[in-house]
Amino acid sequence: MKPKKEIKGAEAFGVKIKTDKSLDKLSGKVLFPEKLKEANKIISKIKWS
Amino acid sequence: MKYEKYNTVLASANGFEYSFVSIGPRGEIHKVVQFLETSDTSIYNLAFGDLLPDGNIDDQIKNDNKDRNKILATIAAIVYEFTAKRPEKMVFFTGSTIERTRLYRMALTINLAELSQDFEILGLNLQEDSYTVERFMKGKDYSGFLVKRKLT
Repeated sequence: MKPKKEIKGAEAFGVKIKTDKSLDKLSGKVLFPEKLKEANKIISKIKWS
Repeated sequence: MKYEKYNTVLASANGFEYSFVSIGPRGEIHKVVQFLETSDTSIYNLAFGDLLPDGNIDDQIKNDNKDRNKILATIAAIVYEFTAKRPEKMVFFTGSTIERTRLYRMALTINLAELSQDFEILGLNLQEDSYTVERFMKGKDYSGFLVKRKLT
């Protein structure tokens, strides 16, 4: 059995992620409705082989 | 990723929204990235755009701040962060135009060797009225992309 891989986050690339409460006001909102609509349209038509 | 990145990114508490500041000749532009669950709960859509001073978001704007590669590399790091927390999920992305989708294909191609160590990278082909999925291949056009963390 293969060993589990280390799951790298952004910090592995020198990018520091800071939690910021000001972004919480965006949570739960669909910020890009057209993109989500397009994604759902495409994803609903995927034929997994 | 081979490019320089913005080294500070803000995140919402639930880890679905991220923001960073693009800095260039057009000044400071706030970028916002959001992952949202799609109709297939195993797939999250990745979208990003500009957070305008009035609080609205513009995902069509071309502001030419001369930092395109730095922005894409920062978004790639954000995808690493998101999928590190949800490695069982796939992330879908496509461009809002054919040119942007091609740009993403080029970015994947340039970084394919490195990204392939950590992700399964799939391309979506439109065939009649449905999409087939295959392992991403260099030099081939796709309608969109799916990435998933490799766990072993």
